Amino acid sequence: MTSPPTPLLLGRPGPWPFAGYFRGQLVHPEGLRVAWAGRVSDGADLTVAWRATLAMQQALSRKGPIDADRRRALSILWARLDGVHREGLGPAQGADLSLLLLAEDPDGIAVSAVGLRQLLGPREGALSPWVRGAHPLLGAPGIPVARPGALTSEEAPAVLVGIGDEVDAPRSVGEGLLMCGVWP
Amino acid sequence: MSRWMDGVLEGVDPRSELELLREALTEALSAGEDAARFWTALAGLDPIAAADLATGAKATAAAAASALVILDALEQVLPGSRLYHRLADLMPARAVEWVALAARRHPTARWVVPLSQRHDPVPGRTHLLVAAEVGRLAEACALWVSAGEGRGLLAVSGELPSLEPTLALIRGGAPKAAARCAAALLDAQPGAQVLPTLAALYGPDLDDLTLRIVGHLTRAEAREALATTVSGLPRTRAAL
Repeated sequence: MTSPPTPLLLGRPGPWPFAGYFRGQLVHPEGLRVAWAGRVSDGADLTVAWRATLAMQQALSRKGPIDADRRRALSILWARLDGVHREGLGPAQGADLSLLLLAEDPDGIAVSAVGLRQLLGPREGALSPWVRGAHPLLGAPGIPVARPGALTSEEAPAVLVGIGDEVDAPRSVGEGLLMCGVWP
Repeated sequence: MSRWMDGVLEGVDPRSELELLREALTEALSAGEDAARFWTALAGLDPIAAADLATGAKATAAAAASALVILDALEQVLPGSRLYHRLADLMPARAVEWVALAARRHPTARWVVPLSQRHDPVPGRTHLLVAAEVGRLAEACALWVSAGEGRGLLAVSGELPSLEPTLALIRGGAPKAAARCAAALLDAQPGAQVLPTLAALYGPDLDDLTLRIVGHLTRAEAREALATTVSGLPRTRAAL
């Protein structure tokens, strides 16, 4: 289900945990793969939230797979958001965006994000912080004005789980996957 | 009409005179008399004796049917599960009616599930239809998901039509059954806008679920209508 490495975003507490959530990936024939997990349109009507996810998916997929190194690929993905119509992103017009981007090539991965409070990776069956403290990957939500930085790593965890809310982290990888809408 | 059937039970000790009361009731009902005032008076005097006369071991179908005027009192002294099972046993031809009555009065009671399982031709169907009428469908669906019985959920998905059974099954971790219910809904109501709600509950990998839904659709109109709404779901779009 989670062919590595996969970015995920933990669902919100409440009756509609995945309203406004989207996930996708693009694979270039030369080997670069980019993938994302995000959410937008917090508190909106479900139809508005759904349309916002389609707008985000369309923006990120625009012009198809990316032929670049992994760090540059993330810049291109962020640039693709410049063309998204904010009016279609719900009441906050994208100011509530949480987005975890990942690019993978044979040398490793690059990760970039907005709107995350925690970023977890698997360790011995549990999900543990992948970055700690006031890390640049953790910060305020919203479509970024300046391109966010990227963290590169030669190690590629099977999943990276972003958390955008003040909630307790899931205890196990299995629980975390379910809370991200990954069905067994 | 006897004084007893007229509701005059002064001086009667119902428990020691239960057989006399039974005889009087049987005679009155055979004669086509109305026993409502008798039941009301007896329930006021001794509801346990009334319950025994209405649904006890020696009760008859006619007696039980006539005692429905004191259903509130019967429910006070008998567990709902026992009362409605007994009504259905005494009047098997009207069993579905008792399931519906129980569901209307107790739409979210767990004991309605085994009652419906035993007496409803499609387990759950009557309970869920009635629960929908009284605005408690979501809770009733959750009971059937907990019970692991999906036939009623599937039936009412198309019959109402409603997305609630699908949502309850997703919440219960049964996406395959949920897909069948969603397909039944879409077959009954092609063009129903279900994707925003499903996505909000199921998660961003909605393509997995919608692909399963497509596999269960039986009507071309449903497939055509769904095809217009799945632009963001590439595998489903390809399948349609």
